[in-house]
Amino acid sequence: MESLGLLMDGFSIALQWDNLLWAFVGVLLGTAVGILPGIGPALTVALLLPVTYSLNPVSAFIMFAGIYYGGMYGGSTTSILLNTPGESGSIITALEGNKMARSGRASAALATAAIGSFVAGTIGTIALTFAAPALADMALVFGPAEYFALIALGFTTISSVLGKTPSRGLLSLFLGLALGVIGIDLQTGQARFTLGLLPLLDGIHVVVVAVGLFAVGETLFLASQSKGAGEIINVKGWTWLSRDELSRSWKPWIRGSLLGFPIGGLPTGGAEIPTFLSYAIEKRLSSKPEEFGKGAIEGVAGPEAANNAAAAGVLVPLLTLGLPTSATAAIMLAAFQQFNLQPGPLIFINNPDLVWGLIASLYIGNLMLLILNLPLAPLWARLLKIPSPYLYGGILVFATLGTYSLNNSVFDVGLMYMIGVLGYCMRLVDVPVAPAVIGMILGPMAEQQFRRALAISQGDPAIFFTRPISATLLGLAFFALVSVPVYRYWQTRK
Amino acid sequence: MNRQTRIETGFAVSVIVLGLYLLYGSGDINLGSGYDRIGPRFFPYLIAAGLLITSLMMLLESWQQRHDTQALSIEIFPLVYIASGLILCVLTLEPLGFVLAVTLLFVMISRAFKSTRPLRDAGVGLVLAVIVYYIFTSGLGLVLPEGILAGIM
Repeated sequence: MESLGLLMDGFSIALQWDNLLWAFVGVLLGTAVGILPGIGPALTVALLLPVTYSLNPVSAFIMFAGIYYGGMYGGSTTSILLNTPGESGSIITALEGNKMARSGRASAALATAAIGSFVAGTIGTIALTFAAPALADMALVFGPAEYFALIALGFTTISSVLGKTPSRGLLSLFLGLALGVIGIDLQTGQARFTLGLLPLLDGIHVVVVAVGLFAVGETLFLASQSKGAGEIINVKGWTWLSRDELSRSWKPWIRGSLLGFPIGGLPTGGAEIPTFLSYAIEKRLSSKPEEFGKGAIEGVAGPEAANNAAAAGVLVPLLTLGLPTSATAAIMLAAFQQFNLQPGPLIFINNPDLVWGLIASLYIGNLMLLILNLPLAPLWARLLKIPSPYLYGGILVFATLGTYSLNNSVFDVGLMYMIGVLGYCMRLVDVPVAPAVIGMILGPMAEQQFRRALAISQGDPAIFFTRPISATLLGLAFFALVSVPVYRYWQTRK
Repeated sequence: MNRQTRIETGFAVSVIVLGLYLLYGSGDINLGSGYDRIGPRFFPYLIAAGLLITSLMMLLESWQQRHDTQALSIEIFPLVYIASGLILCVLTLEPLGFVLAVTLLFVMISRAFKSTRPLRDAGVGLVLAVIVYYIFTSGLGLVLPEGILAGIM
């Protein structure tokens, strides 16, 4: 049990006063941005990157982890009280949770979501503690060919899963890849698609793209919709569960966690699928299936747990392989690069303090979140009363601030706004933006590994198909690419 | 062709144009020297091909699919307010300074979200901008443009 010893070392780092403070700041910010519509953990971490330049990396990542987990807790509050899911993982929570809230059971819905998130977060973090080092050991044998194949698998699965149709997910991915090409080619030093503009020689920072797509694109989209604000349901008093509600909740919590972690940990990522599966399972297993659609507590407990366990699962490929499978994970990868760290098997050997301090802080952050969210949910709900003119005005002030601070450059701000217009157009035509962010950060890595692999093989492309791991991963990638269209075609033929 | 289909067609066609530009531009990239076998042109070609294929697929899907006639209601005025707010902010960020530029932006965004009290919005925006300015410069050590308030701030 080498992991346990390392985890204890991690706790000795995470329990230092200043790191506890950073974790607290992280969970506080995370809960707040999770609750506020229009701003999520990906955007928040992106905007905080320039601020953390001067921080030590361990503290910065402890704060980011708090924001990441906190965002999941906060998102469920908005789903339940406002019926507008803050992020895709909480769509299902809104289904039953908002019905519960409308029938006066808001506090039970909030409580089962918060405790379920805690249970799932803890189970997920325990699983991460043991799965991550094991996977990192396996990944030590990965060469450039395997890394390229892995990224290719990530590209195809993430793009097929996100978005209305696979072609739209892939289109978004290629847009991100195109943005990633801009700048000086690392291998040959040649400028590519810089349009003669000096600031583009260094390439476009992923924060510029993420902030543009998420903050500006979303603001434009919401402002152009004439839809009025939703009705916010008030909660009063303490949030707690009755004995009956508890006995109906605990099994869905466990099942949701066990479902969410492995699916979240796959290179496909995505927190939505386990929440949908959990909902379907709970509906089938429930002794009162007739309550589903009218506010069944199992329909909140299960998916909410699945969502949080999947969030822990996403950290496995991120930490062990350097493969981000969600927008927030992509920004966290950018944060690692900012500190000149490359997540992957070697980070467990070279920076054990960072990795284990981070994992230990997840346990602590989870506990903080339970304490912050369970009794204080009604207080947090007040954030929903910020009028939308001020909310979005504020979001754009912070977006401008964060983007300018990257390089003290007005050019970046203008570029970010333009990418925001692109994000608005993508929203209009149902093209998801997350694959673009992931493609933007992974594209240059994919190209580098691809060219390295061919340099090793002296130009022979067979290297990708003769090495067993690489061949398997590429086979899976191809399967992911063709299976969805083939399946749909077959369905329409029937 | 209803409006949603028209918008999707416009988007897909723009991406096709972008793909063609990448295809054309990839040939202009200097190969550089060295013994890199793949060279800096290969990936741009690949991406151009990907953009062309996926946008054509999206075009076909969009034409085959029937959309609800009232899928999206787009209001133009809020978009105009936000767009002019963004342009103003880029133009004034350095001359006027961070505080005044983002206050202006804040007012424009608020207007886009149907606020009818621009003076109050300006007050709220100014207070927010000043607080943010001091937290991030004095507190967190970032550098933000002072602009015309250089002597006062």
